[in-house]
Amino acid sequence: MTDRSFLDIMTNIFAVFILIILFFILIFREQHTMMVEGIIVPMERNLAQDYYYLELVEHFVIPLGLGGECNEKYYKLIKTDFGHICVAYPSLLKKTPEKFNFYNKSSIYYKTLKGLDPSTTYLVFLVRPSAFDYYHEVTKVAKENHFKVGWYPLKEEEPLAFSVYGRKIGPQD
Amino acid sequence: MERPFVDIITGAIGVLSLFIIIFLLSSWHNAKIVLKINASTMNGKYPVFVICSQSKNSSGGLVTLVCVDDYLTEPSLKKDLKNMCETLKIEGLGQVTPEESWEIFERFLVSHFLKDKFYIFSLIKPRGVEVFKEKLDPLLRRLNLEMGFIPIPEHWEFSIALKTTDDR
Repeated sequence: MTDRSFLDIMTNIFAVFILIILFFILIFREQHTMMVEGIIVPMERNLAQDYYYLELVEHFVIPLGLGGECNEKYYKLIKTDFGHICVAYPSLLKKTPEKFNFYNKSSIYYKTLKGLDPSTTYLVFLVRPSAFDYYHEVTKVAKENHFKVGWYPLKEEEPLAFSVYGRKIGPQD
Repeated sequence: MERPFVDIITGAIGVLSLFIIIFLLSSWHNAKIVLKINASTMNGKYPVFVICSQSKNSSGGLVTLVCVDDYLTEPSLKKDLKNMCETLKIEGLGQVTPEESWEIFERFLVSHFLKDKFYIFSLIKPRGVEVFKEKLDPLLRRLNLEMGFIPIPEHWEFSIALKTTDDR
C-alpha cells in the first residue's frame, strides 16, 4: 500500500464518518421550541374607565394619549367632520428611536406606565402588522403593572382616525 | 483507475456534507415558537377559534375555523365542533376563492351554528388584519356575537388548554 492510497482511504473514511454524524444530527435533532406563556383568551368587554391609546410599530411604542387625543409631542392633529386624525411626525422614529424602543427600560413607554393609574385607566394598543411579534411582550409588561389591556389591529399604513362613529375598544383581560 | 474513483466518491461525499451543513445552518434560526393559549369559559360559553390569515392561492383574506378539539372536555361539545368543521368543509371553505370562502363563513355565523354554547375567538395573523377589520369584526358586531381576538405572528404556532373556571 502506498502513502497516497492510504491517504485516500483515510480521507474517505473521515468523510463518511462526518456524513453519518450529520445524518444523525439531522434526523434526531429536536426542534427548538419556545413557549410564550400567559395568554388567556378573554372576551372583549365594556369598561367604564378612561382608556389610553398607544401605537405599536415594530418594537416601538408611541403614546397617543387619553381617549385618542393626539399627543402633540409626537403627532399632528388633523380635524375631520366627525373626529380627528393623528399623523405621526415624519422621521419620529428615525430621529430618536431609543426614546420609543420597548427594549429600552427608560423609554417613553415605561414612563407612560408610571404616569398612569391602572385603577382608573386601561390601555388600548393600536397594533401594526410589523409589531405582531412584539405585542405579547409589550402587553406583558403592562399587565405586570396591573393595567387592563385592549388592542386593535391596524394596517401598516392606515391613518390613526378617531371618530364619534368609531369602534370603542374594550379591554380583554 | 483507482485514484479517480476514490477522488470522485470523496468529492461527492464532501459536496453532500456541505449541503447538509448548509441546510442545518439555515434551519437553525427557524425555531418553533408556540403561543400557549389558555382558553376559558365565559358566561358559560366555550371559545371556538378562528384564524384570520391570507389565502394561499391569492392575496385575499381568509377566515378558517380551528378544528382541533383537544381543549374541549365534553363529548357533546367536541361533536358540535366536528359538525361545524364538516359543514364548512362540505361547503368548500378555503377551497374556493377568498370572496366565496367569506360568503360561506358569513352564512355559517349567521345561521346560529354557535347557538348559546360558543363564542368566537379570532387569532389574527399580520396578513389577516384586513379580513378581520373589514369583514369579521363588523359582522360579529352586527350579529351581536361575543368575541375576543389576539394577534399571532405569521410563523408562530399555538396550543390551546382549557381553564374551567369562569373568570367573570
